[in-house]
Amino acid sequence: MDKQYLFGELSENELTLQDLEDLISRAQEMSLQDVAIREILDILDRAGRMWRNPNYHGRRTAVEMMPSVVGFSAQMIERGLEELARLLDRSELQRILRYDLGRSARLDSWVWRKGYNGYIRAVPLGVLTHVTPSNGFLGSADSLVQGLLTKNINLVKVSHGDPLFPLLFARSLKEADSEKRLHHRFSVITLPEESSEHEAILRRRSDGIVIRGGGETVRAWSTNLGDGVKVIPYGPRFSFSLITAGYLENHELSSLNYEGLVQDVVSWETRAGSSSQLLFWPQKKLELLPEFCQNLAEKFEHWNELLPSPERDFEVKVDLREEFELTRFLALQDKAQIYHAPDLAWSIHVRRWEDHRGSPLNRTLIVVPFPDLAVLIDWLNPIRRRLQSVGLAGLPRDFRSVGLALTDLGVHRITEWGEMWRPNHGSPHDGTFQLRELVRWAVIESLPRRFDAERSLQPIPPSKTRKLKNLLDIARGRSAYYARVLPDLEISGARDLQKLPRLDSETLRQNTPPAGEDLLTGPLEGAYIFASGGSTGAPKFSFFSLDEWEEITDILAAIYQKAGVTRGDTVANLFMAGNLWTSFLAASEALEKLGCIKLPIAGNVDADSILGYLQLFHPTVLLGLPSLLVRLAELAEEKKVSLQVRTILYGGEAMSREARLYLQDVLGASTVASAGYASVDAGPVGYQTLDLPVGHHHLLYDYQFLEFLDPETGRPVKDGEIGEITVTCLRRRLMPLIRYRTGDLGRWVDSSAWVFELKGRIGDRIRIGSADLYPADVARTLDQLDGVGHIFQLVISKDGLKDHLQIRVERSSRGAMVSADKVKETLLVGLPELEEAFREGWLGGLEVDLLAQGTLERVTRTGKIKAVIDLRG
Amino acid sequence: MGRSFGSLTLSMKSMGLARRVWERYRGATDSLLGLRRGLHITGRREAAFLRAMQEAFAYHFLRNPELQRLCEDTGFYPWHLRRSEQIPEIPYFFSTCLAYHPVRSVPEQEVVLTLRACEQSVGAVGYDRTSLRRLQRIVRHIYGDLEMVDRVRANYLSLHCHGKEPGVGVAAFLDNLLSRLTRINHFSRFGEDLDGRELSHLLERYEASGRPFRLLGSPTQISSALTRVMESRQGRPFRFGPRSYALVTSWWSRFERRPAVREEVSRGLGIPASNVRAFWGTLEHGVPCCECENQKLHVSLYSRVYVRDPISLQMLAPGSEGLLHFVTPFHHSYPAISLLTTKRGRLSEGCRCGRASPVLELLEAGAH
Repeated sequence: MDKQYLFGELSENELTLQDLEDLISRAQEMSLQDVAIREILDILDRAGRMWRNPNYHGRRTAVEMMPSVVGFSAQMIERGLEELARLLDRSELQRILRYDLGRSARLDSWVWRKGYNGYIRAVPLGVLTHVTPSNGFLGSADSLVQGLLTKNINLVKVSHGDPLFPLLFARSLKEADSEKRLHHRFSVITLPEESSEHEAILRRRSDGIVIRGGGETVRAWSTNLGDGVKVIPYGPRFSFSLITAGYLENHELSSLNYEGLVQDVVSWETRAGSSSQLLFWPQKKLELLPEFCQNLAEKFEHWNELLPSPERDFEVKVDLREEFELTRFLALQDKAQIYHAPDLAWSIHVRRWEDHRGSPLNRTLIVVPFPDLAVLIDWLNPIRRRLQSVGLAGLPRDFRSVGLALTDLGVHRITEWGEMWRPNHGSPHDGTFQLRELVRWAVIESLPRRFDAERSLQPIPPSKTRKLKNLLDIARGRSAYYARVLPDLEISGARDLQKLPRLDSETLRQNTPPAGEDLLTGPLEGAYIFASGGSTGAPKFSFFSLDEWEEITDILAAIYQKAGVTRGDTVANLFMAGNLWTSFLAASEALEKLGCIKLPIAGNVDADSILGYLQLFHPTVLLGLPSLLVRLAELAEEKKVSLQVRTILYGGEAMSREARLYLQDVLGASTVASAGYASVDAGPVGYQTLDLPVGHHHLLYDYQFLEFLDPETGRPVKDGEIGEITVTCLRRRLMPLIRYRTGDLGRWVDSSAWVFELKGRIGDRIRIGSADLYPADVARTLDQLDGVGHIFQLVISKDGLKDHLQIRVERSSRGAMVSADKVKETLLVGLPELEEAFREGWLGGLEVDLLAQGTLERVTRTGKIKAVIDLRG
Repeated sequence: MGRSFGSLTLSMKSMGLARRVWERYRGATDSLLGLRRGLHITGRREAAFLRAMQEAFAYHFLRNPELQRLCEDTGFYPWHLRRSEQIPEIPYFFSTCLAYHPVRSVPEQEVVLTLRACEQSVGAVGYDRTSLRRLQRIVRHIYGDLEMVDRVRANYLSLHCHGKEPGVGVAAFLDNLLSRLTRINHFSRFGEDLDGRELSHLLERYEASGRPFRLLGSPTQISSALTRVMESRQGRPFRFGPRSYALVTSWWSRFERRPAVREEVSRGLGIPASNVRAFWGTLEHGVPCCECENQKLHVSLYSRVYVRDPISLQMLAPGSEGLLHFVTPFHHSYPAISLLTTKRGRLSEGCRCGRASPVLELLEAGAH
């Protein structure tokens, strides 16, 4: 039988002292810094799905062999494995990371800390030894998972009580880690019977020791440590249940949560630190106790059938007999009552505190009447350092007052009945956030600017294959939609992505809430919901976990910084706010990360008010839609207000050269740049730099995988040809987007440099006469003319049998007056296909209407111009 | 499923029935203890044991309310005990309960010796003069059958820690019981802080006297003392010879080291290994099980040992492991004539030594 799992290799050999020294030396040379937390989560999640599968060979082995090893029934083992799968669930792990460390990214790199205005990083302790407990088999897995989540190099020392499960778990991680990222960087070791010298080596050379076990174990491992070795002890704990008189006054006995209480007792055979050993019952309600115990006894019997008690060893049987006899002896003198199964599979002992001498555990509940809270506190005072959880049946006010008194005493955790046995992942354990104990914190203090913008936007080009593999695995394993549509094939490169189906926006809508949930991979706990597309049809909703949202706003912050926004800037956020829109919120978060002074005005406030705020606070940077920014500039010009803005960042619409020049002229902005190419569904895709022409973007290649596909056939177009932008988001997990059709058109400008050009919406490609016309091309051509603005509209109608094109253009206040003929001439020169169609008579008519500024009709909800109106029917 | 217990309502009739049983068998216990071969159980002696138990059961029932409640709970009363096979049905006291709850069947002033498992014990075993006298006879009869009772004067060395664990008053009690097996020439007692050289000198005097020597103590105490003595003598062993013995208590707690300690004592004192004899008993039961020359612990004529399943309490066949249940009629002041313990062991029939008494094998400590 295997005894060791040494950095990926199983071995049956004893571990000699030299072996252990060598093992630690190897461990000290290792690091998990090259593995992103996202990858670790993917691997653990995959392992969790394996354990959830009843046919997984590791699970079958555990169910078959563990009962005789750890003294739990097969059913309890099954229950434990379900709990393990829950622990390994990606969203649960993310929650733990978030609650313990604030942000998982802190383990991957330096993270700018808002408010502190410096960088912070969680650094693994190094080589971590885990001394695992023998009272429950999940403890070892739990401890190892925490070590992996914090990127430590872990050595798990198995307990003599359970030498099997840690090895089974290690093997499952190896199986889940086909890319060899994790499994060769931890070990599970079995020390020989006489192991004091081995233990001395571990105590001396580890960087940290996590000790889970009884008081003796904790004491033994906490002595004779090497210099600076951190000890993280989780010693013996004691938990109990409590019901208040107030609760009994307001609730019928029949309505009490007996099931929950029984589960808190029977789970883990009452051996876990969080198992309820005692129930304190108010003496004022003693008359209700016999009926309560009778009801409870029935539930014990019921649960004993659902989760049969295991075959117990002699010592346990003796303990149970002894406790039974003690209570029976008291009962003979009218000082106690006892309710029990004939075979003592469970028992309820009602007795006085002075007669209480501990519990034999193993489904024993001792009920102790208490006169009042003060007395109860006195009773518990001598054991206050061992207190852990309390399952409380109380009124809301009891949770406040009793909870306060008990936590003051030493209790760490208060739950409702039925919640004690299963800790809420992410909550503190024994008074500490466990992951925080496994890292140390490093900082870079008080930098005026973030230094990681470049790295965020253009990191070292990654291996896409591994990221795509992980993404597909998560999507296939956790999303019902992808499980249905993704073929069962292993991808060996990005090219294989072409074998997968595309995802269109309607399918997205149908498979995400409220219409459906199939596309999601986890529960919507800690998530943002955003909407898009509501102005023209049923809105689509997009879902981002909080961590995913953090990533997006990190990227945005980097884009802003690259555009010159920095700490100390006063920034007016003029994006549209509310209404499930992303832009305002995302910009706000990003600005906070840069340490800017924020003016959260929003674009859906009337222009006069906005101008008023801008006059009051003199922002150095404006963020907003081009149309709104132009309107503000016009208003400022009209009112002769000087704003002197340094930088303008826009998004949501294209901006013409004319508009850019106008804003520079009126608002004094030296920089007018795009805030990036993004959509609500797809998230950020690209960003602009000042050196790129209008419409050209750098791809966020570490975030999105981009394809340009023929909208009809779905086949990739040739490099440089225009196709539909189809994105696969490499990082999002809650709502994975695999080959999502954005509806935007674009082409590679330089695929080797990750530069692409946006060409507008698919619907914007107008087949008119014999020509393909893109509004983006019209805008670019109009940009060359002085005297016209960037705002225009194409109206297409029928003139007899032929198409008729009317181009409505708003005049500009800048430059010389231009005639409609001049505009028409310029368009025909700039758009050869249009000129050919017009010249050869395919186009019935081409008409240019020059309109006064602000007269083109805007969409009420978004403030945008509808660029194409097709009246051909 | 649920059990609670009402107040005791024994009728006058019950008490009358019990009194009749007691009067009928009165004197049977002392008759049993008059049988000298303590490890020789025959059919006739079995009947004598039954009669003694009938007397003891009725006697304590009439005097002890806790036993009355146990009888009421189980529905087994003194007048129900008619056959030897029914002896195991006598309601038992559980050993741990007795550590927390004092019980006795005589007025407090009649108790002349109180033994406690430890300082913290609330419960205690109280001996009146009758009980003490009876136990002394029992011990003498058992060791008589083991041919260790001698009229010759012997030198005694006790290493029992007086006033310390494992029991309060137990050390002196044991010394008193065991030193009555011979006449005493000299009795000395050394504690934990003994001086190896001083003890060495004492043992040299004992050796030089040519008298039999008896060493009393636990394996740990004896081993530790011998080590120090041997250090002071540069490892030179004594030669006490085959008439000397080491009587070792608590043998079972060092179960895994038994052969090593036996060899160490035998070699150090110069006595046959078969003369290193363990004896074992529980404080509450009182009657010791003593090793024969084949190192087998024998159950005596004055007690019975049953092996029970810890959960169902069913009696198990010889050879099976279980909880040990002891029965004895000798207690006069203490009602635990039937005692269920947390000790684990098994019984086997017969021994190569030829003595007609069951052999008890202690396996390991239970919860206490």
